[in-house]
Amino acid sequence: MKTKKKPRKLLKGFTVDPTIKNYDDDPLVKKKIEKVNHILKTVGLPKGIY
Amino acid sequence: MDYILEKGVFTYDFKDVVLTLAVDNMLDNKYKVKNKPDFQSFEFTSEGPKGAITKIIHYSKVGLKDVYNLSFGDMSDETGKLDDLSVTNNGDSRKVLATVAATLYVFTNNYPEAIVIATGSTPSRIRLYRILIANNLEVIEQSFFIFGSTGIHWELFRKNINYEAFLVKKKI
Repeated sequence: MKTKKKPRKLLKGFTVDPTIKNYDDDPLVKKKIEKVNHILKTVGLPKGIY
Repeated sequence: MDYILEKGVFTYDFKDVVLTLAVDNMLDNKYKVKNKPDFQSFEFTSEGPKGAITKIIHYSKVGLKDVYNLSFGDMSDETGKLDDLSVTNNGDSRKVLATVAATLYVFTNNYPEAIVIATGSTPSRIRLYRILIANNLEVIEQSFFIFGSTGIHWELFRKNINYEAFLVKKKI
């Protein structure tokens, strides 16, 4: 069977650590997401960015 | 670097090797970083006269497809939550910002379609981001499109312009 593996990409000095917590529910992250969503509503995205 | 194991032989893309070396050089003076396996949360420790301070960078999805917010702050020992208003004064702001920039390379290597938006918590913090980008603009532009928001529209980043937010997208 053909094996093809594409490992994730890291720079020198980075290590994967599964114990790092998820910050999606952090109050600061939520505040920042609100701010970015406001920018997206009022300013949008640069033309042709997709 | 893009290593591919195919039929038992490793190959790699030389263009990626050259670019990775350039980035490593630009970001040479950075802290060691730990990241979650999903490459969206990163943690490192700032060290200086004020002691060891845990810094967190988190990339989170927002309301539009492939758009992510970059959150960056100190982890409070008391609450375990992020704080982006604290002033560490650990004498290592360049090294800290180089480390944050390094996480952007790792994140976008793993999410190549991502559009990342960063906003500063205070005018002085936004100014610091602007200076960091301006000082490394040539190297950054090899890998990314970078825009600044005036609050009315986005434009390609120019030096010495006050922006409210920054947006980067990896060149593919």
